[in-house]
Amino acid sequence: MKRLLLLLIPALISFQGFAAEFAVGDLVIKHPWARPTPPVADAGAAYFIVDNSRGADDRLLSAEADISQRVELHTHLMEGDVMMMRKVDTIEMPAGQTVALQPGGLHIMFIGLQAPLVEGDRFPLTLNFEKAGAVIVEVAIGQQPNAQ
Amino acid sequence: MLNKQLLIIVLGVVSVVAGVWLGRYFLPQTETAEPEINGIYISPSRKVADFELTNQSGQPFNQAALKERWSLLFFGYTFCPDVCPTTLAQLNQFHSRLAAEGLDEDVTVWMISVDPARDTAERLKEYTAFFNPKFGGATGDREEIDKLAQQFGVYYKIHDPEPGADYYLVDHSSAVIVINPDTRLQAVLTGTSSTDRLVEDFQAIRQHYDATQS
Repeated sequence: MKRLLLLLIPALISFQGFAAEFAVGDLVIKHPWARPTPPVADAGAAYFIVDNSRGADDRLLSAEADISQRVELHTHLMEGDVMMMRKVDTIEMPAGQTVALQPGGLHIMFIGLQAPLVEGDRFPLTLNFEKAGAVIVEVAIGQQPNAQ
Repeated sequence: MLNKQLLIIVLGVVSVVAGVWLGRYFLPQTETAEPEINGIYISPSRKVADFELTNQSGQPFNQAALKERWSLLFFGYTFCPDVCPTTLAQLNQFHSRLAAEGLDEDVTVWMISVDPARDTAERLKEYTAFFNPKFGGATGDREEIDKLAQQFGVYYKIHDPEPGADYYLVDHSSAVIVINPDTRLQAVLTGTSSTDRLVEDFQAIRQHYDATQS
């Protein structure tokens, strides 16, 4: 029983912290989160899941936030064990699919952070989709949610 | 009477010791089979060639810093927003798990910055301490970084800024290098997706090392 409770605690915490969904058009953006950053860090990253199971082909064109000088869309290409981070112009959201922005892959990159990202804080992030339009999501700063 | 008992005891001890000793030489060593890890186990372990970097406190970081302890080396850069924080956060979980079992005392995690133009010792100190105050950081001249990276097969490439960008990116290996207490390369951990697996692999490496010490 005690063991079961121990297992449940992280699930409950992550549920409270990250049970966030944002809808725009046919898209559902789930669990936006960002890792806390060290005080000296210039850059940070945010992640979320886009559920496009109901919609038509769409694409993420850009993202905006006032926490940094620049906000870019990035991906990681992996060759062997070498991670190659690259800026991308858009992120495709194919019809009927779920696209995950997650560590080691696609992410929103914040360059020139105004202040460190502090665990427990939240910040608004505007996502501009080609068809679905713009949506403001709330990014929770913390550890990776279990859902991902 | 007493002497006879003593003789039996002594003979008993001697035969057990001899048996164990002989067994080590003549029986198949199933218990010391090489660990199967997520990555490459280096057998026999390989001598680490000389290098001279500077650690997070401005002190020399060289072979001596790796002596008589396990060292896990990760190559990255502090401008890195995704892979480096992810890896360091995972190495922190890994280290905390070892600490919970009292197995962390002889294990040090190092982040080696391949981007000395942006990463000073001071900067590395703040960066690594954010993830775990026990973690170290080191960097130095490009030539010395290369000496360290190349011998482990760690690749990195510093890009020029993209047109219109005021920053540059760095491609780098995400492998974690494991150096044993004899300052020899023992393993290269790759694709470490879970903390559980990382702990399991490291413990298997350490146990195998301990079992093969004479």
